[in-house]
Amino acid sequence: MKYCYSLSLVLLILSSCTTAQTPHPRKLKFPPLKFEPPKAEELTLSNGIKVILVENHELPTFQMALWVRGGYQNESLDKIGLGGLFQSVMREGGTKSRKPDALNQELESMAATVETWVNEEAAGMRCSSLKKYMDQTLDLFCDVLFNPAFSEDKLRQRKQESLEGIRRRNDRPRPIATREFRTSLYGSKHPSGWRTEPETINAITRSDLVSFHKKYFVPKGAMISASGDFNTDEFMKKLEKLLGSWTGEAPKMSAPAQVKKEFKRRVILVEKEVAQSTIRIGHLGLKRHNPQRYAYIVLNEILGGASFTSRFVREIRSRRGLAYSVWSYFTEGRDYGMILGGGQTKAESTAQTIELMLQMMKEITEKPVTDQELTLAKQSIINSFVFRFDSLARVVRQQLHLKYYGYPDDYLQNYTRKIESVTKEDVLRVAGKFLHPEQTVILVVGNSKKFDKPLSAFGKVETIKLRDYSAALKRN
Amino acid sequence: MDRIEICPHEHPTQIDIDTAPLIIAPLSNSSQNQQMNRRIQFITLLVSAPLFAKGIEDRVVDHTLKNGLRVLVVERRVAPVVSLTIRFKAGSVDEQVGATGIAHMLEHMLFKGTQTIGTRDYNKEKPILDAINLASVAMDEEEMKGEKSDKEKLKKLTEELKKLREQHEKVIIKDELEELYNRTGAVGFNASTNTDMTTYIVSLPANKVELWMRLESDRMRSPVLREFYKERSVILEERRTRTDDRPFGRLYENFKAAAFMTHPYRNPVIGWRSDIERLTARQAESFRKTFYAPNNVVMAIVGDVKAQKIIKQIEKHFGDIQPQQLPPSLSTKEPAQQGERRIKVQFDASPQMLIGFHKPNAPHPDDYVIDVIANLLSEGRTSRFHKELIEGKELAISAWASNSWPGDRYDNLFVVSGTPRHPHTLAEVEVAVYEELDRLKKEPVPESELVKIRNNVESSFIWGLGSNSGLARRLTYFVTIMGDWNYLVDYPQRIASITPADIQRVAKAYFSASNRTVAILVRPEKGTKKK
Repeated sequence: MKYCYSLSLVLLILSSCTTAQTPHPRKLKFPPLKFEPPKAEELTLSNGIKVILVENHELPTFQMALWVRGGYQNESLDKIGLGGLFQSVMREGGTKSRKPDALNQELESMAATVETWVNEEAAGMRCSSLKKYMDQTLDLFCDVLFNPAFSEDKLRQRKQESLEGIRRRNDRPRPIATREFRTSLYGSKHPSGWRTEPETINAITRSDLVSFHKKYFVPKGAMISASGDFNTDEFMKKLEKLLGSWTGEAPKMSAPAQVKKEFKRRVILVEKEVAQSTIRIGHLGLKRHNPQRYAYIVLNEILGGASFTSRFVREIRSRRGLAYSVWSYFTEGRDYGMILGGGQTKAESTAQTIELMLQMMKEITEKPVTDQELTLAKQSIINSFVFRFDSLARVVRQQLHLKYYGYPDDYLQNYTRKIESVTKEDVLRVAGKFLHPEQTVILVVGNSKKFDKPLSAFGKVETIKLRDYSAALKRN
Repeated sequence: MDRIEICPHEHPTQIDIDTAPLIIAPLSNSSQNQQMNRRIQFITLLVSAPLFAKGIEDRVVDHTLKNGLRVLVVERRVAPVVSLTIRFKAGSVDEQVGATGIAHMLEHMLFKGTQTIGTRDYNKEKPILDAINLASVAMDEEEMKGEKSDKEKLKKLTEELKKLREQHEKVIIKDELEELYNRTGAVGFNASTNTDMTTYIVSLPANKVELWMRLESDRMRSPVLREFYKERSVILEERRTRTDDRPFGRLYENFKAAAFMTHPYRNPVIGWRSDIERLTARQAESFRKTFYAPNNVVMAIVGDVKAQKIIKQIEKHFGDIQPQQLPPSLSTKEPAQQGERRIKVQFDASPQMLIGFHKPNAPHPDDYVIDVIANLLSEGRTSRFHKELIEGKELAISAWASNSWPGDRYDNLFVVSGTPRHPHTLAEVEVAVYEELDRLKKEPVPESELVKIRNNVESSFIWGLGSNSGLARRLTYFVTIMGDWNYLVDYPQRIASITPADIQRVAKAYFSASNRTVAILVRPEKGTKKK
């Protein structure tokens, strides 16, 4: 289908000042942008792997990604960190026929990359190289995929580095805020809330990595995206030869932990002697595929998602000079995502900033947004939609991502129309439904002696004592 | 993908400043990382003919207006979008004593509008703005007296300012510039300041280029530095985030001030705190008048455009801006270092270190050699630091080398960073770093390592052509630094010509104890106060 972006969407707002003979930039008219979002071909290998690919002959390069079903959400609680270690050691531990150094050498001498990755809900690999090294790179990709050696020595080194990371995890305020806020919403037994500890890292063994690989790296449900300077038929033949005979049972996955959906005001303080307080305010929000997400996207844009034109930034940064960084966003996942606002301000304006954020969250649940805000947010989202297609690599990656997470095939085709149809009433409705300013978790990392007001103004204060790792990490 | 499914990294700060240097030298460590990210983010598009068939040198349309403004256009018809970059050769290195941070402050102010943008009526606004500026300066003066300040006068000024600001709020339109861009679907509307230059960037749907011409020519001609004193507070917050509370920020600020004695590369881009606290709108305006001249600008437009049409539009919108006599170039030279400098920064965080060696800036022939050395030492898993310090001796969790800090316009530093892994110490990491530097002096680098680097440079160059914004950024960067984007085109060949003997000679010439500065970050000693 064809998209035409034209002025029909643009609400012309009269400006009071047009002194020069040239019209005010607000009144500029633009030619329509004729644009057909490219769609990549979807093919299938004989073992069922979906391949989303597009030829791209601009540069003599290629890149490919493989997604399999499985992430760190199914890790056992006493081995948290397995996904992270797996991600490094599957690639860095070499293969059955290639020592780690030899594999690195082969790849880097061609300036090619093969990497593995694991996130909460998915895992996979990716590779890239110049066209002239495509065959060698694909061979190495498959060697890592099928024959990882999981070298004991590399696992030991990566474990040592993870422990050093734990030792350093409280050096900077922002990572503390991010981590503690997540735990406050999800608890320490949910993959979105848990964290590695020296004990969980130490408990991970090579056989855990081997079984992670065996369990998840199977063709059932796997998907590939590829773009580059190749011929589709030839490329598919190559993939068929390399991956078509790959077999394996679908992973049996226990249901990952579910968060208990509750909304309750909590005030959490992490004491740290810093000049600036790091603030997080929020609670649980939307699951993936919630049909009301379009209205929430618009709401978030107005509240604190857009930069200067959002309420948070305009009021807290621009009008009052209280922060350099202040924002809102929301996540969507298998389980309830987060709705949150955050920012940093000097210790002396901590409470003032929290009050302003809460007040603006409250206001948006009580009063409809203005026509001007609504129009601006929608135009901004709709008119920048074209950038989702600004490279073919992005087109195939995006297509795979949507398919992997089960979005409908016409998701992108309908996206701008759905944004366009959002009304002020919709925004007010989703604000009332999803935002609970009175029941937010408020978390601050900062030096409470210097706060403008004690945090008890917002509720009973829980003080988190950061774990002292000196005993647990003595050996390392 | 979806803006809501991006990983929850920290907020994309809107107006960026590079307190760490903006590194675009094609070989440096972090540029490679950026390159990697770009690989994943942007590559290529639908085009009928391979772009690569025709060299980039034939595709850059390079035009200079009569007023000295230089424009580079590259047609890249892969999606109906365009990336636009404007660079002023004006950075923190151009600031005066007592006014550090003014280049960056001005960059923030350029988002506040012009005589037509951001105001309901500039004629009405002007007297209010002048009164605010006067009262704010008076307030600063009085506050600076500290204990001896006249409390009554301060109270009066505070009230006066409050009233004036209320009046001002009524005549301005907040953040109108960004609003105009946002609603047309702009992405990445931002700016950055570093030691050498100030950069304004945005990407637009290709049908909106006219808006950019209008807004940016207006912004170059007659910006209004409104709400200056409020923005100063924002910048102090920015300083807290980037420097005061950040271990690396503290270390780096101290490191530079130790490595440079006379040259302004010693100053932080964001400015010293006491300077920021007293910057004035007048200083910003004077800095602007001095440096924001069309003959001090290079811009690049890369994307779905027609070069000849773009140049006509540029002529129309920017052609009448008057050129200016630019100040003479900086005469201060950093004297040769006379012995090692070592400093200790006490901060409540785990240990890390920076080591710097003075060396000439690009395009000095030795600078290319040092690019190769940086690559050899820390690019990838086959690099010497990775193999020896991280995996071999298991001393460090991170060790990297990088050329050209903190900037490229003047002689600069080759920098090594090391982060030890407990129970290993900074001292052990330092010894291991020197062993690797000494090896470069003693043993010729095997051909295989040089071949690897050549392939990497070639590959980076090719991937780098696949992004509108990346291309615009690189082309303008090298024009700003050395007046010529051909540096970029010739770079792979220059790197290919470097021999093992070159590396030995250069390592011996620069990596000496007397030419180095070592800065370590350690926790405060027990019993002393933390901050």
